[in-house]
Amino acid sequence: MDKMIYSQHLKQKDLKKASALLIPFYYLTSLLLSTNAQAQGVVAGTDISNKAVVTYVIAGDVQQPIESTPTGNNAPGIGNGQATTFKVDRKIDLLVTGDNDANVSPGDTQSTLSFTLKNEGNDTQTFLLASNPTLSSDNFDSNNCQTSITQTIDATGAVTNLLPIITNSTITLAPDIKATVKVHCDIPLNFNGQALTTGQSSLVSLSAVAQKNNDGTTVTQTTTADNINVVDTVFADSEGSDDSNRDASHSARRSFVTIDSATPPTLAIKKSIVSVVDPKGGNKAITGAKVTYKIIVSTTGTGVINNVVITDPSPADMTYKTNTIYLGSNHLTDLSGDDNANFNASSKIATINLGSLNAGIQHEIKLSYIIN
Amino acid sequence: MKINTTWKIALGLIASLMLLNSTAIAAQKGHIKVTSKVQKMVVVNQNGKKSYKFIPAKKVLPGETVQYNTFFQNISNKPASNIMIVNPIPKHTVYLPNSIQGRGTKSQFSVDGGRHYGNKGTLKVRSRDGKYHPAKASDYTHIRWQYLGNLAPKAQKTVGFRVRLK
Repeated sequence: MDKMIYSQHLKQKDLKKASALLIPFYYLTSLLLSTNAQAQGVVAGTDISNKAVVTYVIAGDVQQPIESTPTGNNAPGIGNGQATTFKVDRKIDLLVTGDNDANVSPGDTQSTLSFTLKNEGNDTQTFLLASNPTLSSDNFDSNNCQTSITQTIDATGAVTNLLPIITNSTITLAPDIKATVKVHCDIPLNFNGQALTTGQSSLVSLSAVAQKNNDGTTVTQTTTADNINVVDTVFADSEGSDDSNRDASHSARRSFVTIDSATPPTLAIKKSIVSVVDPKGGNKAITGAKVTYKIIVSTTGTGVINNVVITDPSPADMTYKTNTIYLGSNHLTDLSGDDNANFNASSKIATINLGSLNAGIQHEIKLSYIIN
Repeated sequence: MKINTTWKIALGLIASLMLLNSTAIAAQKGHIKVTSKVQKMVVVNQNGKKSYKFIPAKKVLPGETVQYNTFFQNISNKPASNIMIVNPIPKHTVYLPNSIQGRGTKSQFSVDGGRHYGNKGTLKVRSRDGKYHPAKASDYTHIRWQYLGNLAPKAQKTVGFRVRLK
C-alpha cells in the first residue's frame, strides 16, 4: 500500500533529487580511472568514455535508471550499461628552435651552437638528431660536427641537467618536455683555398626526426583504415628550415660567425733618413743641418687595423723644423685639430693619426729636424 | 516513522544497485532503450563557405571536437513521463559553450560532479582565492536534460552536446 501511495504522489523534484544522490557515485568512479592530461593534449592511447543515464516514470511508477550503451540498452540498473569509447590517437609534433649565433675564431675546435627540441605531440617519442654544416648561402662550412644533449626542461620550466654529456644522437622526450641540444663543430682556417676573414658565417642546421613511439614501434603515419579502438598515428608537425610540413621532423638553422681572421693583419714601421742639408749647401751632419726623416708604415695579411697613431719624439740634440710634416704628398700643419697631424712644442712630439688601415695599405710620412 | 519521499526513492535506487549481480534483475527488460553515440566534428570548405561534417570518431587528436548524442526510445506500450537524462562531461574533454542540443527539453548544468544543477549563467565556482566566480563552460561536470512532456510508445528522441578533447 505504501509503495502505491508513494508512487502516485511522486513529484518530479523528488526524482531530480534522487538522481542527484547517485551522480557522485559515477563521478568518483570516473576520477579513479583518470590519467594525466598534458598541455600538449591527452596522452595517446587514452580511452575517452561516455555513459549517459536515463530515469523515467511509467504509469506513475518510478523505474530503475537505464544506462546507455553504444548500440542501445534497455536493461535497467546501474552497471548494465556500457561506455561509448574511443581512443585518443597519436599526434606526432615537434619543434626545433635555434638559440643564438656563436662567435668563433678560425681554427677553433668544437665550437658550440645551442638549439632547443620540444616534443609537442601527445606521446613519448624518441627523436633522432642530425646536424648539417654544408649548407649553401653562407661563407664557409664548419666540419666534424656532433650533437650532445645537456639538459631537459619540463612544462613548468624545471631543468634537469644531464651529466656527463650524452654523445649519442637520440633523445627520448615525454610530451611537453624540451631538451637543450648542442652542436659542436670545428672551424677551419681556410675554405675553398681562401683564408677565413672577420665577419664570415657558417650555417648549421639541426634536424630532429621522430623515430620510435613510446611502445617501441617505429613511427609511421597510419595509412590503413582508421579504427576507433586502435591508436592511429597522425603527423602534425610544421615546416622547419630544412624539412616539410607533416613529415615527423623539424629543423632550424644557426650560424658560426668569425670575429677575427685566419691571417690577421700585421703592422710594420720603418724610419730612415732621406736627406741631410747643412747650412753651407752640403750634406754634412753639422750644427744647423736639416735632417729629413721618412717613416714607412706598412701592413700585410687580411683584415683591418684600427686606431693607428704614429708618434715621433724629437731626437736628442735636434729641434723640430716647423711645418715639415708630410703624409705622402699632403703637407700637414703643426696645429692640433685641423688635420691628422700636430707637433706639441712642450712635449716635443710629432703625432700623425692614420686611423684604420686595411691590410695591404702603406703610408709614407716625412718630417725634418735641425741639428742643434 | 516518516521518511522523506526523496530518501525513499534514493534508497530504492541504491537497493537496486546492490542487486546488480542478480541475474533476475539483469535479465529484466526496461521500457526505454538508451544509446550513446560519438562522432567527430570536422570543418569542411564548400565553395568557400565553412560547414560542419560529422564522421565516425575513429581518428581523434587533442584539440579536436566530438559530438555526443544520447538517443532514448520508449520500447514499451505505455507513455513514459518525467524523463531525465544525465550525462557527465567525459574525462579529458571540455564542454563547448552553447553546444547543447535537445528539442523539447529543458537543460541544466552542474559544476560539482552532479550534486547540484542550475541554469546556464547561474552557476558559480570557487577559485583558489576562496572567492566565487561565474562558472565557465569549461567548469561544467555534468549536463542534465528534462524531457518536457510524455514520450509515446515507440517514439525516439535525442539530446546532444559537443566537447573538445584536451
